[in-house]
Amino acid sequence: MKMFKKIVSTFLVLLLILSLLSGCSSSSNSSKSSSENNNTSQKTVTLRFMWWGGDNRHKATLDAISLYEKEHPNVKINAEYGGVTDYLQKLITQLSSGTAPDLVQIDVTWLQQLFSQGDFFADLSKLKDIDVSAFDQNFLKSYCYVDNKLIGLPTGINNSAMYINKDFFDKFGIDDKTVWTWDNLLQTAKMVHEKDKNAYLLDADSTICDYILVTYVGQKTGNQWVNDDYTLGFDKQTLTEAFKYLNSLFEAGAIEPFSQSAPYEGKPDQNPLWLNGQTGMLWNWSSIYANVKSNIKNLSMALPPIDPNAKQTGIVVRPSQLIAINKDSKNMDEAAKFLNWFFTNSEAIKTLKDVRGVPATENARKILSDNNLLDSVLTDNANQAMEKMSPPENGISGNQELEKINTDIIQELAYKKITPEQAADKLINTYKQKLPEIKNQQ
Amino acid sequence: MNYNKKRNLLGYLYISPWIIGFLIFTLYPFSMTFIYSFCNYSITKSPVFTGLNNYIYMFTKDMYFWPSLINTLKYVLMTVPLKLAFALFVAMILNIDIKGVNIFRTVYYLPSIFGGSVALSVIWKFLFMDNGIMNKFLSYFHIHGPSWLGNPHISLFTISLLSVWEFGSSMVIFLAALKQVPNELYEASMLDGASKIKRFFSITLPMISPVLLFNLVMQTINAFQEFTGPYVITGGGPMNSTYVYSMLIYDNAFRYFRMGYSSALSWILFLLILVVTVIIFRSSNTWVYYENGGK
Repeated sequence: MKMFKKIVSTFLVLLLILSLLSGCSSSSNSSKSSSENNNTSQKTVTLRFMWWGGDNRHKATLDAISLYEKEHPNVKINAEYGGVTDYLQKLITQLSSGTAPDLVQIDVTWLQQLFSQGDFFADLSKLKDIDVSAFDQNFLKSYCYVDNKLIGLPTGINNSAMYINKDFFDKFGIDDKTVWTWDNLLQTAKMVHEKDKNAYLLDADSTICDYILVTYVGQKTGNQWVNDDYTLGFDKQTLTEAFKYLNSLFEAGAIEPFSQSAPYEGKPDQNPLWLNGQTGMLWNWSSIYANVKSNIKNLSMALPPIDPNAKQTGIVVRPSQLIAINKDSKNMDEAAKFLNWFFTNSEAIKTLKDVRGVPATENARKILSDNNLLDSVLTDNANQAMEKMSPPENGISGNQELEKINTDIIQELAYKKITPEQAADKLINTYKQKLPEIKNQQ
Repeated sequence: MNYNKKRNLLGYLYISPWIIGFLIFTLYPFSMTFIYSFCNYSITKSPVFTGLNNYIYMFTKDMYFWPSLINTLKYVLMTVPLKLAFALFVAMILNIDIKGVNIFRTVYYLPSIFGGSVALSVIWKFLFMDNGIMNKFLSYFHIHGPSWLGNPHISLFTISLLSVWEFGSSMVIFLAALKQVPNELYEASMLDGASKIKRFFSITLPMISPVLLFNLVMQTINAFQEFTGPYVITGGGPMNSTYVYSMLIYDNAFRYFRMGYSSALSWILFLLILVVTVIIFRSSNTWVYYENGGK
């Protein structure tokens, strides 16, 4: 036993010495490099750039950054990237404590929430280093301006879309060019599940069921989900009908039971059933195309279902994300230069490709298609969506608390704890309490 | 300065990193949440005093308040007894003198070193998926494993198991206590013909009861504050069956940015833990045995 203790203690001492040594060596390294920097005549500027995304986006963005650093040796860009989970929480905490990066990727649906917290971003139209003429001005006006200030530049065109696993469709003899309505979606789903008990047409968690619910209702009413004056955009009858439709999807085996897909709640694109081709369709945003494509090789796309008598399609076309400059950035000019390069330099465009969706500038789209870097599946889908697009969703309709209420009720419906009628009652009653609360908070 | 004063000062100097850390990172936030709990405070704007509104809203209107509180109580009642029983059981096995027992002690302590980490929760999630290792293992015995994470009746238990598995620190403390139990008591009882079970309940348990009390209090406090497990493994679902109180605090603070309300929720949790701890201490008079009469 003594021997054992001796060995262990010797090992620990060695470990300690090693860690001390490595600590010393790294610090001497850094001091050396900083003295080197002092020798160069140009002042080094360090920018911080934060974004979220999947592996493809990370890699392409990092490549673009190193390209820029090579062209501009005086600029060093620190990349801060990760998944979208908790990104907004982190960002707001950083913004309020004054530690936010110089360049940040934000989502248009967050603008209302961000601006209710304060004014954090620089007006890009005032920065001389940024050329906004390359962008479609109408697109900028509908989504990127708040209080007449240009908050961010759109990284791409993002639309609601259905991703289709073509192998799955071939197996069940479904045409991937089908124009979807609520009826043929349900019929096809029934057929699929009858043929194969382990196959489901739709890959959906409660969030995607929420898309179904809100879109279905919106097509019937032609209104926003919640009106600008915080009243409901629908009546009880329409809502009950929508819940009934959702329930029929559950009962027909169109959607994998929630008890099975629970570990993938919030990340349906990672559900093994989808990755293994046991589900055929994923309703999601076109901005994650590159990531979906890396998993599903034989990929096709369609638009979400549209009722033939729809008053509006409910198809959303909006910027994939915006990239904004922190108002308190110490290196605003350098940040602006980088941002301009990021959107207009042809090498940058070729490096970034479609990792943030189809680019929002015509120039970038042209460069990519000239070089065969743009997937025709994605661009065709974007064009279809732009033809059928609905007016932009208002801020309150996308509120996170309301979304939690929706997904909670959808789960109860999926687990058969409540009927569609009860679900509609519950949702309306809860909204009647919650909406005035949210209104008072603003 | 005389010698004693100097010595005291030196002592405080040595522990000053901890004291400074405590003042800045524990006491200050702790007191500030008390003030914020009476305010309407979103993180970027200055707080507005609203009196008891937060507390009234919590008890009368917040639809997640009572369900999450009940989930937390269920979780505590499930986790604490299981964990203590398991820790004591393993401690008793490791108390047997055999060759290489120290290696086992280290191995059983390992899970606690990882304690509460996100990575571990992710592993747990993979273990208990429908086609995860757990159900594969059960299928060898022709048992069709349940949906550990998808069944709202089981999901909280699955998360509780993760905490039970991290029984190491309680185990080490139990082990130390077991070593303190005088051997002559066992020898005397054996001569009188007491069975193993009788010996456990009449000698072992009373002799280690002070340590049992300590572990009970510590584990109860920890269980009330459980966050990482439900947040990472199930995200509060399915059907909010694992939506525990600390997740409600988190959501209000960092998703809806109602820092004031979230502070109020935290204070209620603090008071709840305080009350439960006091009850445990009060009850200890009847079941904790001190050799020196508790003096």
